Amino acid sequence: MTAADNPVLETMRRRRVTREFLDEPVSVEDLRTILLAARLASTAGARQIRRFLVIRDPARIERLRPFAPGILLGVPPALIVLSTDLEAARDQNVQASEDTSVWVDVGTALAHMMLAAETLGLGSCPATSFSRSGVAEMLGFPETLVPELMLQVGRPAPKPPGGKGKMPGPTIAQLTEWETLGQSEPPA
Amino acid sequence: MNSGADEQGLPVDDALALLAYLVTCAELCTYEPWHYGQLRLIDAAGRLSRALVESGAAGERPWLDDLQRSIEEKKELVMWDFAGFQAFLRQTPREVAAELRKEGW
Repeated sequence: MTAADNPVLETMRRRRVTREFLDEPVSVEDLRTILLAARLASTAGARQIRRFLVIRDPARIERLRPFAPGILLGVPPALIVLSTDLEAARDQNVQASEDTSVWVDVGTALAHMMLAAETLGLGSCPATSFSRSGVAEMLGFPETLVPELMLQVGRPAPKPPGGKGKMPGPTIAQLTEWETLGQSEPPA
Repeated sequence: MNSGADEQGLPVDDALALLAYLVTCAELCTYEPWHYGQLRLIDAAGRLSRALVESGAAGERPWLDDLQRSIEEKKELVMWDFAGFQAFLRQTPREVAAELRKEGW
C-alpha cells in the first residue's frame, strides 16, 4: 500500500471542517461510532480521564451558544462536549493542571472523532472558543469536570458555488527536517 | 423613518443571550489571538441585529437585516482573508452611520 491508495489517508485528505449543517438529526448509531473512535484514540499512560457529553436538543445547544463563540454558524444537529474528569485524573496520579499530555489526549480523541465522522458522511467542526466556566455552569458540571472542547457534528450543508476550497498551506516537506535542523532531506 | 414611540424593546431573553456572549468574549480576549477580538465584536453586532429583526423590535429597518446577513457572510474572512475582513470592518460603521442619519441622528 502506498500513500496514494491508503484508504485512511484518503479519508484524511477528504475531511474538511464543516461549519454549516443541514437541519437533519444525527443518528444515535452514528454518534456511538464517533464516540467509539474517540475511545480508541491513544492516551498517555493508557489512562481514561476524558468524558463525553452528547447534546442533540437544539434548545440546549442554543442556550450554550452565547457562551461558545466557537459555534460560529447556527445550531449544529449534535454537539459532543469533551471534558477532563479531574477526579479520574487524581485517581490515576495525573496532575491535570500541569501535565500538557492531558490536552494531547483531547487532540487525539478529536482527530479520531473527525475522521470517523468523515467515514460516515458527516461533517464536523471543533470549537475551543468558549468559556469553560460558563459552559460548565450551563451544563451543570461539577467543578471536577472541565470542558475542553466541543465537536459540532451534522450532515454538511451544500457549499455555495465558488467556495474557497482547501486553504493553502505549507507542504509537510517545508515543515520537516531530518536528523538535524536545516537538513531538509533524509541522509542517504 | 422609525421613531419608535410605539416600538417594543429588545426581548429580555435576546438581551441576556447577548450579555452572556459579550462577557464570554471578554474572557476569551484574555488569551485568544488578539485579532479574534475583532471577530467577536462584529459577530456581536450581527447577533444584536438579528435579535432586533427577528423579534420585531427593529420596526421597519430592512438595513438591519442586510447588515446581519453581511456580517454572517463576511465574518469568516478573518480566517483566510484578513485584509478583506478588516476592509469590511472599516466600511461597516459608515454604512450604519448613513442609515442612522436617514433616521435623523
